[in-house]
Amino acid sequence: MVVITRDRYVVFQVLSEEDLPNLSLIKAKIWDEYQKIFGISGTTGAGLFFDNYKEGGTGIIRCDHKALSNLMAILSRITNISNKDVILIPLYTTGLVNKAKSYLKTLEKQIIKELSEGNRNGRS
Amino acid sequence: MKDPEAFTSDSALSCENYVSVDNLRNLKLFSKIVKPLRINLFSVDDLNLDNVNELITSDEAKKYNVTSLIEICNRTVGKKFGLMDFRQTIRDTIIDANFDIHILISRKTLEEDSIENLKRKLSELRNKHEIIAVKADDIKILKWAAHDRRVDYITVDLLSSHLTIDKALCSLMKQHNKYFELTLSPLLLSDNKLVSAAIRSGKKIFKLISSTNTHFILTMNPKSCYQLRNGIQIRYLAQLLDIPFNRSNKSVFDNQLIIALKNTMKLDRSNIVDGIREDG
Repeated sequence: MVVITRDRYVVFQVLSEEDLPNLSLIKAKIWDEYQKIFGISGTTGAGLFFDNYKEGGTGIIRCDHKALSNLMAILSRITNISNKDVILIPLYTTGLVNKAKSYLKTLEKQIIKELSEGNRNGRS
Repeated sequence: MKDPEAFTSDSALSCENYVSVDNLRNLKLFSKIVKPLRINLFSVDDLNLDNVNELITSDEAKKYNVTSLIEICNRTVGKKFGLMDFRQTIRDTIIDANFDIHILISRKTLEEDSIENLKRKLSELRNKHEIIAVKADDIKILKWAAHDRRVDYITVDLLSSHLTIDKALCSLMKQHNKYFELTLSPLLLSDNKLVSAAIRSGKKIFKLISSTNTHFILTMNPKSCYQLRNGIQIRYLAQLLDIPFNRSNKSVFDNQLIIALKNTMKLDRSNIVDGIREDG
């Protein structure tokens, strides 16, 4: 029997006052929290895959469509990564990877624009 | 390609119903976190109406677009407005400001150990705060509070040593159209034992609430700005307590806004209840 899995792509953003953690730390934290709440069986069933993480603190997490609500709960539970206060915000959820990527692109442009505006205001 | 704003519907509006004043001390950090989360309505604990007015007129608050619910309502004075119109006005104001507006509501949580003390405090504070919530370990106090018109919420702690609500209290709350306030901050703790206890007790509480179909709202009661969560995140977190996603759609913004607006109008027009005016 052919089983077609349906994936969901979650665009997320990391916010922190300090330096943003790198992808491996974020990955480890999400896996750890997922295992804590849903166990090893739940974690393997979720099929988590991290993609397109950029230095601005944005990225995409792919998961099984049945595990979406669990993943969202886990992202909401995280308040610190390696002793740094952070907040992980799921911004957009879609079933198409191209849509997620194009949203991410727009978001990055917006972040760069905000940063440059902030720098300009800071100088003046 | 649509811009990111276009992906957000009205359901993205959020309210945090139990913010402590400490969170507002660093308005820069608060605003930085709250803007991408799109939380716009805040009930600030231990802040009375005068304090709110002082805060919103300060220079720093003006920089971060901080306002109060009364101020927005006052802008529409002169037109014949009802509750639903006010609700729509608030929604429109938030969306027009591109979610970059912080609306403050004054709130007081009463934690008294006897009914007499609670009565005394309620008569002192009822005109000073828009929202009054009661938190107690004694079920007798809660049952008394459930039928008092001055009380808006009964706050339920997921980490209390024993279950503080029962079926009789739930049906009393339903009868008097009162709301339970479930604080979900224990779910963010790092201690496994505490999280497990919170989930266990939360499931029991929701089972009781669900059996009597009593109204409830969800809040985070954040200890720091990093514990703030928006409506969608709170609803997903609530699924850990077996609260279905579709049953919590009004528990993160609409119910809070309606109660706050009702109380604001009540205070503004010196009404005891809708349509009954207080003398003097």
